[in-house]
Amino acid sequence: MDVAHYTFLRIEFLRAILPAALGCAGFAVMSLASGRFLSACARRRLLRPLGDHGSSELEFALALPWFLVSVLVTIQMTLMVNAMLVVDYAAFCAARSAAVWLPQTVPNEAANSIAPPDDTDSEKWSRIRRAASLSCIPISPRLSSFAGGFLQLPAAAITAEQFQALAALGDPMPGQTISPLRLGIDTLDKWFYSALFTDVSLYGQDGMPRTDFPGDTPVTARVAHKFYMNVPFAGPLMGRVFGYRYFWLIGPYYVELSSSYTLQMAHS
Amino acid sequence: MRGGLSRVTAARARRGLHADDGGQISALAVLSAAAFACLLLLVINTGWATSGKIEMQNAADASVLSGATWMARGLNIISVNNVTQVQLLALIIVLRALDDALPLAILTLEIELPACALLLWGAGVCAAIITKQIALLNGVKNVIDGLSNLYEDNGLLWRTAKLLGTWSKFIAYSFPLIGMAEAHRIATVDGADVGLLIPARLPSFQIDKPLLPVHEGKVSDLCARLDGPVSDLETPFQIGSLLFVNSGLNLYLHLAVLSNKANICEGTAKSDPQGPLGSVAECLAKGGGTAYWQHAYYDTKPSFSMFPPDVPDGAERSEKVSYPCSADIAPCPFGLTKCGGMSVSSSNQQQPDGTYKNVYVGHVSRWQFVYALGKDQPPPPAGSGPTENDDSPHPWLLGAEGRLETEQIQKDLRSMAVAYRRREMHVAPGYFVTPWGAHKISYAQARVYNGTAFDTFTSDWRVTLDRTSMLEDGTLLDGLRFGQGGLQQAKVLDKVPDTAMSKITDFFGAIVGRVLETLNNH
Repeated sequence: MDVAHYTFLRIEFLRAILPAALGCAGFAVMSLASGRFLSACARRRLLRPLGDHGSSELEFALALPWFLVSVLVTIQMTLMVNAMLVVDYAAFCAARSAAVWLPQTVPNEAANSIAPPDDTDSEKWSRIRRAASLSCIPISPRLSSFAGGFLQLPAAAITAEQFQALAALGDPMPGQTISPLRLGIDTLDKWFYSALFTDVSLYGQDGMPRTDFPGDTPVTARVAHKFYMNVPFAGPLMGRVFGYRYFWLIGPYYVELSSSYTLQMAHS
Repeated sequence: MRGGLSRVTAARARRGLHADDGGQISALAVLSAAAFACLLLLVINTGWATSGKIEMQNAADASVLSGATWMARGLNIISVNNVTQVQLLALIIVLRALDDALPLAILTLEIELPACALLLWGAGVCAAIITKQIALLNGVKNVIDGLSNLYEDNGLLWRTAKLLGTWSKFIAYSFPLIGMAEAHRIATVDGADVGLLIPARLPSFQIDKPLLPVHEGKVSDLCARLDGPVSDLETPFQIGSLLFVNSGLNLYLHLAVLSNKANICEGTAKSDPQGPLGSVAECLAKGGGTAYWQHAYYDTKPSFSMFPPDVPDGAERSEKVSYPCSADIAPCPFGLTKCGGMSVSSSNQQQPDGTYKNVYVGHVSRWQFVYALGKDQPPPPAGSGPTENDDSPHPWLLGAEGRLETEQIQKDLRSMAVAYRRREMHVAPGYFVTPWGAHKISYAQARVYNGTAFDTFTSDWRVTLDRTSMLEDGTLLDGLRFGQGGLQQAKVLDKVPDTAMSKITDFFGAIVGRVLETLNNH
């Protein structure tokens, strides 16, 4: 059951990625072919008396949109692969947290058991989820930028200076150390998203979701993070292929990235 | 002329440059290649960072587990030492009792020997049996006499028991330090530069106290173990052949006591609480008291569940059981809650009205250590229990500096390890730093627990990972708090009223605690 479960996760991811990869390759081939074809036509028929001045500019102009889109799609895909690594780490953190928190005895939760996942008062769930969402902070958008994306703000509405100011708010410039204050603000800004859109589920030794875990057995934590696809053009484009929207027909797209990790539970 | 030529050449060169459209795509290709390289670096960077984080967490886990294992190891050795001390004391008691009882038993048999001649039938057999028994007991007596340097005052057994106490003390002081060194070694093996093990008692560490949460007990704690059969392992008469010795003494000592010649205090718990020689205190006052031999009979009720009432008529059965005393059978002697070595027999007896009734008889016998040092020393006052003597073996028991509550001891048995790695796992530091940095520091907490019984007489101490409660409940910060030490002890803040100071420290302590609790991910 375990093996099938994990294998399914990976295939799921591949199934999501493969159409996009094939699409990108198709775009590249189409852009090259169409540019070649059009410039050849121009060279042969229409513009022959005028010489071939400008044909390369035409090629360039025709190929550029396809090229840009394929670059943006590549960036978006790379960011997703990047996020997969972070979600893997989040799964480790959640499993580590579950391994030490499940055997604890806390109010309303006995040792080696946990409240149902929808219990909002559960300390164990809040601890385990917090471990996962803390780890997913680096791949979460800032609340401000996410809200902007949600309102479909055009990127052109922001001037270069404003963009740089926004970027400087969170990201360190080369060679710059992060001040604790900035780190705190940045963390809080990103944590809203991470806490909202990172979920954890726990599985027992038999691979089934459960609320009671026998002592000294392995526990598997599966983290699912809704990765915000924020690259212009590429995000919505890929989102239409294999992503989801936060609400029906509204807002930007996300793709659900998930990963599992298994650790031996501590002793109660 | 030369200038005109050069102008023409320059103009031609410019035209040629403009006409040359090579390199447009290659410029784009270079830009995109640079972008892809950056993306590749980003992914490699994140991969390194996350695997580095997991590596560091594993280093901290391994570090704290290996460090705390030395504490568990120390407690296990202390437990074995304590149990060995109990068994050595039991051995002293039994050997001394034998030394006292054997001459009496031989004397009893020698008195009985001429009585065989009075028998009308089987006088020869009787004399032969008794003569054989006398020879046997003489042989045993010779062996016991030869062993006198073992059980005499300050004999080998007594000195060995004392030595075990000293060994336990050494372990209590040294093993946590070995654990700290081991934690550092394991952390470096696992990729960190430094691994620091912080036992829960470290913030309030005093040089004259051990880091293991144990304290030196009294000899009476060992006697309590002799007295109360806590587990079969520790009950002296459960030690293999001593069971036989016990049953043999039961016969001979009882005879000796009845003939009022034994230097042994004897009593029955229920039927005759005072016993033939009076109470224990009176007996001791008379000079008795090498050991206290208790021989108690209990008449159990027919409803005793071990034997169902449907035993066939006339059947008899006897079985050795360990049975908890309860009020409806018989009160436990000396406040015991469990009697060890209880034998129960049952039989169906015919009643005067012709019916049969099951009769169950429970028989409990045990040793009680009262006065191990021997008859050469004055007896203790009544009710004072065993003598306290600095020249006695001491066990090492759980709890330190009066912190004897189980919950407090469990808190003291925690350890936390902090692993630190100087180098950062980055391809291009400064460009792709994630908000959580390079994870140079990781931490983990472990707990020493006993899977069987929470005492230092059971060597089943183990280690498990734990949630990092030391970080949240202020254990780590205790040593740094203004109110408890640090600045106040250094007389820096004398002029600040204590109440204001405590309010300030409480306020900031609450904030720090809340932040730590929020950011603590395990």
